[in-house]
Amino acid sequence: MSPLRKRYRLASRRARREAGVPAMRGAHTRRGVLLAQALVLVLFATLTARMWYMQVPQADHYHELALASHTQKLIVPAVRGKILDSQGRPLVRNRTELTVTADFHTLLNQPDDGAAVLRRVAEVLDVPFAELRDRVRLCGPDTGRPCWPGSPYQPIPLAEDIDPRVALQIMERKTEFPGISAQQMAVRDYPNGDMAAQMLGYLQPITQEEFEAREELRVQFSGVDQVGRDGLEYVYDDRLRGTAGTRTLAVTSQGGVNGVVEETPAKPGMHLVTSIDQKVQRITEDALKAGVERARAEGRPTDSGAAVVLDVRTGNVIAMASLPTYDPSVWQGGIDQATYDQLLSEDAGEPLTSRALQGQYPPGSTFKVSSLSAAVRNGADLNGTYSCPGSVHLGNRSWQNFEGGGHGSVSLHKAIVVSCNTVFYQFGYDTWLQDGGTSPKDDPEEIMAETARGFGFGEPTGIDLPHESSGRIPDRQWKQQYWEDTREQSCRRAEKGYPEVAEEDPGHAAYLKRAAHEHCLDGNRWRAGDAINFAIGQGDVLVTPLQLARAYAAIANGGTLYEPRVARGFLSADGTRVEELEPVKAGTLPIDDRTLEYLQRALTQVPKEGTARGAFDGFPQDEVSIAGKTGTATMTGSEDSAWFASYAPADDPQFAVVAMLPEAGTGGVAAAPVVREIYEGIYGISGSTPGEGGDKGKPKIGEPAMPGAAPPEQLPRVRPDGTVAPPTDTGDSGDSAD
Amino acid sequence: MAVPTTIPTAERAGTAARKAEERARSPLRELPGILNRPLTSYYLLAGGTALLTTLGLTMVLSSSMVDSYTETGSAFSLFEKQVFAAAVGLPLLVVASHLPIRVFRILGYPAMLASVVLLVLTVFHGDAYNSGAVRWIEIAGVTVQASEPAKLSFALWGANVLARREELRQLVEWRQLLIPLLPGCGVLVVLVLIGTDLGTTFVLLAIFLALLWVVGAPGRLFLAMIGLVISLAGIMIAVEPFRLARVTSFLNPQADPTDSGFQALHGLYALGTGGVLGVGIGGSREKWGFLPHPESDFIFAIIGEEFGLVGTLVVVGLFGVLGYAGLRVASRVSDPFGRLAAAAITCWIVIQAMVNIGTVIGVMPITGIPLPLVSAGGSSLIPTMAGLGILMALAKSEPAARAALAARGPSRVQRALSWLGLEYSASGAPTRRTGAAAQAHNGSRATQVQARRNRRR
Repeated sequence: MSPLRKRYRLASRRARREAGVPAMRGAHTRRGVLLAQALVLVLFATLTARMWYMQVPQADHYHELALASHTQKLIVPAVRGKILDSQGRPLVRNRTELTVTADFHTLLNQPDDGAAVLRRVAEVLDVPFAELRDRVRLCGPDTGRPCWPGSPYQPIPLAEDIDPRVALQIMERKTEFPGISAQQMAVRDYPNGDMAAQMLGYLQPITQEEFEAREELRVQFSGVDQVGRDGLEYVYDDRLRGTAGTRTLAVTSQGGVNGVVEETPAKPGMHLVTSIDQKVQRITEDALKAGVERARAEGRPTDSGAAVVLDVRTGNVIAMASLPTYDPSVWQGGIDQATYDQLLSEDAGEPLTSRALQGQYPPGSTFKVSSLSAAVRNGADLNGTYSCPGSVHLGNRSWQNFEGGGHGSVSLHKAIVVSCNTVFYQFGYDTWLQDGGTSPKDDPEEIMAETARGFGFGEPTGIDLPHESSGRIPDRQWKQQYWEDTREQSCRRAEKGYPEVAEEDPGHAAYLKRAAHEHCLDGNRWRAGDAINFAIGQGDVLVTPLQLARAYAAIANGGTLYEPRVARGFLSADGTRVEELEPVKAGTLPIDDRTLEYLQRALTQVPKEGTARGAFDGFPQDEVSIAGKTGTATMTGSEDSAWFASYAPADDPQFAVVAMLPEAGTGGVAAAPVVREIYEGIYGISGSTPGEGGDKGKPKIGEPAMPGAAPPEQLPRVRPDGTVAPPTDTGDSGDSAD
Repeated sequence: MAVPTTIPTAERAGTAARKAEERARSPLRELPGILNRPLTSYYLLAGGTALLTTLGLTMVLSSSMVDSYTETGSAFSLFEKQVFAAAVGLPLLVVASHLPIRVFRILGYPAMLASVVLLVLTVFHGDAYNSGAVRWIEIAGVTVQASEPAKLSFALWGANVLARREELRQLVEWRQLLIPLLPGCGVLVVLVLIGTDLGTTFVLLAIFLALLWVVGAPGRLFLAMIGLVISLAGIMIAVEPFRLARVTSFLNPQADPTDSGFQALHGLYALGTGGVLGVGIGGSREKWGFLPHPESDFIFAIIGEEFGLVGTLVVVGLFGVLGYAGLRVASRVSDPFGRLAAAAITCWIVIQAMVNIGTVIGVMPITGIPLPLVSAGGSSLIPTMAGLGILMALAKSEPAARAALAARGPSRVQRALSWLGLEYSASGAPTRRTGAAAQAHNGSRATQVQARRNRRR
């Protein structure tokens, strides 16, 4: 590498040239050129190979990346399915509302970020400019409300339910309102107002938490989506919602929209057909309302109530009412805080709660069907004679019959018809003694509690509505548990008493203190009194109106307990798909047919000669025979609560109807008339007058609320034009149910 | 001293001759008889140039429509400029292809001088046009990128300088080999680098190396020069931060898809979208405001998107044809200037094409040089066309070609030129000759004549 060698090389070349061998020089350079050619060839080969790699094996990868950056996927929410009654009449439908919307990007591309445009819109709509400006800004961590929580590619609503004239003003002057348009947007509509509000439920915008929890549903929701929050809207949310469509927009690098690349139309949600009959529901609610008003007119403190109408043959819910109620349309367009607080407040009677399935009350004498069954299972003679004195002395205490009267020797039939408590006290006491009384056997039979559970009490019925209560069937085990949970507090109360109660009512305070003391001491023991109270549906027994209705439906239909269902099936929006839900059997009553028939006969006599005779006076029982049982739950410190549980027609049962009015008086007086009105409505009976027994003419049986006075066997169907036809309508003429 | 040196030289010559014979017998050479025809180089150059220029105009229109429309309201504004440039370049090409070789030798020095002046002006009055590189200068309302004609000037000047040295048999020492070539190159490189034009620098250095290679510089000198170039490039990249960003973004374009990797990434998106057959002409989506400068440095990506692998292979193939033809001219032409100039011009165009394509397909950092003949920009198109015209003139001066042309008689252009005293034959040979006589015409003799003339001048 020495310079000397280099010099030598160059020198040799010079020598070569001087020697006059130009051919050699040519060979040298030609070799250089050839080498360069080879080099170039290799480079080109490399380029070619790389190009092949980029454009063939890697093509899809980069193509997808490119697509992702060229397009913007939009979610097009599907039209939510309607909720229909069994005749196809809408309980919840969709209404389109003229809504003024703004396109975020078009506004942003205005020189002043759209301020001038929004000012003009504010003028036309007659709303403050600041409000519009706030509504179009995107929600961020520090943005106050209002702001737009959805995608900037969705139209942002500026004003809902506007006058078509205003909409025209905007649409006709497009150049003055760039990016502003008026379009129809779907909102939930409740044609019957507050009817069945708790059952139907309501919608609310999806929350961030729900959004994150439903990872797999992410594609289904966009920021504007609403989710069913309660009732049927909640339970059948996924069916009603349908499948959101997507619209792929071609966008520029600045976010401007060039056009629609691809569109998958949204699949509208299925219509939910319920077993509810809108007319019967209306009748039930009106009857319940009237019953509550009557009770209040008599000075009772009641302000709530529940009524349930079940189809005894399927367990379907035909009507279910709960008072107080509310209009679910308050949820539309974002509920404000004041209304929301009002809905949840006790002052308003918690109208969101359905007392039919969430309210738990002592069932009173309506529970005797279970107690009688338990006694017969325990060996009591169905045809035997039992003594019904005014009072019995059991377990160191005297137990009074209701209102103290006695009936002498009675059959079980009569014990039900006249609702003789003392007979059932004895049953309760006897079963308690059998299980060992105060020192129970290792494995007590608990026949009373076990039979009650067989009637479906003490656990949720499994209805397709949320938040159902289970009721309570107390037994030894429950009592032990309850005592363990509450002993500490009771013992403290036993020591300190109830000073806050003592100020107003020292006697009651002393009673409470004594009770607390007893409970603290041996509250875990299932005492005779517990068993005796249990037998007549008092004490710690709690049932929901729905549970009771189901139990009576089971008595009526021959012993089958169904899971109550509100939903009967689904119809696709175009009518091509029909899904029908089958009734679900939950169990069988734990009694033999003889006992069941005996019970049925006894219940049939109650409205005719028993405790509900007055309430059903004048009702054409020769046409529609009613079977039922009154119930009056007494509680220390409050008014009696009224029950009437029934089914009809007694000879061929179709409906089970239960009414419950807390603190409204006795069952025969406060609840039975409500049930009577419901039956009158169902069967179209008019002109019958309760009480007095007067002959103001024979009651007329007119048009029943449901065709044939029975729930339709078929589902309604969707006509080709999308309207819904009632199940009986076979032609395409006739009035649309929609 | 003469005795020990002569023997190995003779041996080497013998080996070379044997190898040449083997090559001559190899099927690759025998395969197309067409390739051995005397005017093959000329036609390949003419065909390749025509096809690439046409494709370039088409693609400039296709890729610039969107940006042109948004900026000027007419979809054709940029295309019109390009057509104008081609309208200037085409006559230049035709005239250059008919000029005698000595004209190019004469043009070398003034062209070099003009380039330096332009580059100096650019340094002081240039405009960066928001690109991060000061490369443009406005002259009489026309924006010129001075570094583009500088490449042609350097190729001509360098070829002339080295040819002179060779003819004068002065290539015996390093000093004679590198002076004034290295300083000339250095001046250009420095001026271009002040304008932060790394791509042009690279091409200039490639031309420099090609000249050295073809003139037969010893391997060690050659290696030293390559080392110098690489270390220079390293320093350049290390000094300017935006170059470093470009280099790093080329290594991983997806790391920062919004900034420095944006262009590279969208180039890859375009190629990927094109696939094998492409989305069809005009169907590119990347030109809709995604890929920056789709009509200039990244036009190859749009070709890839609209014509797919088929289109990109055609483009690479056409440059391959140009390269092959150019090097064929270099190896066949008889005088040193022709050989050097042909090699330099070919190297310039081919290297520039490869760097541009390599950039787009993600094997090289973004240097910002256009694809010759295809990319939009008159500053690039006109000198490239002129350079190709010179290359075609050189192709016609291949001894065999000259003979074949002589057999056809002078063309109209030749006659027109002869009226201006610029007759075709550089050697002063009669214009009409039989083919056989032309074949007999000796290359070395022509060189000697040329050398004599040069000395006289």
